[in-house]
Amino acid sequence: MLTIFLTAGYPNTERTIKALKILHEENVDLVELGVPFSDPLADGPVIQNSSFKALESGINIDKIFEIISRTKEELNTNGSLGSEVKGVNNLILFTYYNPVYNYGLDKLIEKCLNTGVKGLLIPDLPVDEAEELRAKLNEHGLTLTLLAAITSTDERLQKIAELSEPFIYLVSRIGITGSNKDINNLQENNDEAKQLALLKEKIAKLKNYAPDKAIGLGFGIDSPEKVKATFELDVDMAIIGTKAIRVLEADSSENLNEFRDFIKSLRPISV
Amino acid sequence: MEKTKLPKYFGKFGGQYVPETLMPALEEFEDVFLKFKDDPEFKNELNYYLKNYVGRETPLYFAKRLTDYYGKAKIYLKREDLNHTGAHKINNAIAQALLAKKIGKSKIIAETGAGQHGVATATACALLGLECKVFMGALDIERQAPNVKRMKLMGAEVIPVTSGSATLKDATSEAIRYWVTNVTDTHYIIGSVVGPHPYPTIVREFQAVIGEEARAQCLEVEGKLPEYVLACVGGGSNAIGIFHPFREDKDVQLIAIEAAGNGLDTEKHAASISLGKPGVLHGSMSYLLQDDYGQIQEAHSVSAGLDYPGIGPEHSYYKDEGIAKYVAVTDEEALAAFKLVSRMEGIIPALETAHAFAYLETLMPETKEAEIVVLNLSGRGDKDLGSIK
Repeated sequence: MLTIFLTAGYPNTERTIKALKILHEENVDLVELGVPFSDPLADGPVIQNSSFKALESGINIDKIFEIISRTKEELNTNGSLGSEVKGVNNLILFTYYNPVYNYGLDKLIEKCLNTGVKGLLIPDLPVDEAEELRAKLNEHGLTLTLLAAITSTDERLQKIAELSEPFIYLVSRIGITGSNKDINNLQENNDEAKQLALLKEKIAKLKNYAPDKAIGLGFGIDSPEKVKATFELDVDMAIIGTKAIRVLEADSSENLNEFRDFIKSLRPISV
Repeated sequence: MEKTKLPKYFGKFGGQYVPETLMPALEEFEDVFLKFKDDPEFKNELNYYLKNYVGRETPLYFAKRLTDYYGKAKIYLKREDLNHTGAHKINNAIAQALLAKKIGKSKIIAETGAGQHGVATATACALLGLECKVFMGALDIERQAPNVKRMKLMGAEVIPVTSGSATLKDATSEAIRYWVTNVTDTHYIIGSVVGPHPYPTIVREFQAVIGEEARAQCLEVEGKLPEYVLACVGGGSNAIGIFHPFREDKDVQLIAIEAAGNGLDTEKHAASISLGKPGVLHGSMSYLLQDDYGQIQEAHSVSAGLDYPGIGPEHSYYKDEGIAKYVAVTDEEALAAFKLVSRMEGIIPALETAHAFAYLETLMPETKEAEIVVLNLSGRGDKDLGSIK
């Protein structure tokens, strides 16, 4: 399976809507739509920059729900929305906790239900802090996707595996989002072999704790080759964020042809 | 799942809102703190450095001329400015650096606003032979140049942070990102009572020495407790350090002074408690300056150390429970106090501390001659001479 992350409102609202339509048309399995935050602690420079620019242009949660509704309307009008649970029909919001807390969970849930958003993924809400929120989302048929790390202890992995829905988001390495190149000014000892060994160990453990639950791998997957390498591990889903943002921001064509080609290039590998 | 052994929340404030990657490091830090905090050998080592290297205990000084100037209660100053490196920050930096060695981590990172915590951490690292990187907002690097030089001289690498407002908030975010990326061999010495659990508790424990000493000194000299204890508050480490040992003394009024910048009726201030609302930043729930959609707003203060849109979670709890009172003074009031104290007492206070002095203008007329005010003189002002006209 293939998941693509986009920052809502970047480079602007219209481009976000076009990009979302492409993700849907190209049968991306799941869409993570990023709610920009002023202090994105888990993100590297590319997603940080996209968040700051989107915020400067005035994006907010209400406008993000409008983006989702408009995208679906336009897809419906051209007859390609369908009812299959994929693309924008399988969309979750990637958001830091403060915008959720501030907006109010009840109001957010209502908006999610009205626009068909499936759930939330909150990178700064570890499993210990998430229980109340998760229970409330579940009550309304919405999911909370939890992140597991290669530093997570067995106890924590087990709890994450049990509670995360509809898949487990495994962070591929010790670090923040972005390709190695983006964050190498932060990385002192990038022992890739050691991290890969840890990653394999954690995947095996998660599979053992929750045999039927999909594992998505994200952070640093920035090329078709990396996607291929991802599926050589025992995971079910590749999650691409930073690279998608890079391609999108560099694509000056009216119809986002390069962005579409990039998504297409990932497709055959990930099926 | 393993239970945290220190309380994780102060009422509804505090908690651990961080990426999963950091959770094991937070657990490890808490375990090591609990293992060593009462360990005689660790306590001896820490006390040795606090006494012989930092210069503790610091005096509780009777400010006679300032007292005469207001003509009311007696004003005592807790002289944290006399600590080695010129502020209270060293109390926590040395203690955490010692703990980092116990964890087996030889690399240290820190964030800094005014540069006092950066200098304290660079000092502790030089003392103990640790590698040190300090994240500092580009704007702060400009306005606190002497401290940047001091850090570099002691072998620390100062990393400029240009994102956002290029001040303490952004330096803290970048330090956290660096920590997420290098968590296996790096310890993050947070300089204030902010951040995810267990930091607010551990930093408070290492700063509580201020209040423990001040309380005992006041009892010794005056035979009674003070009526008022004052401290400036940004993140809030000097304030919690002096408040905590007095928190159960019902007749002692604890007053924290926030930075009102250009004024509380303007958009340029750093008064997180006076004007903020609860939210999550840098790993914990506390009062924050934020907009209608939960985006963190930039703080503004003439004092780099108070220029932060949040405050430690324990302060938010003190505020809601009425344990301490939170007020604010403007840049202008702080600058006037800075000059007044320099002239009256021959002590140039840090601009941060000048905020606490500025509140004497409001407080002193309400006091009686038989009463006592203890003000935490958290740091010296040499670093600020460049920003004073």
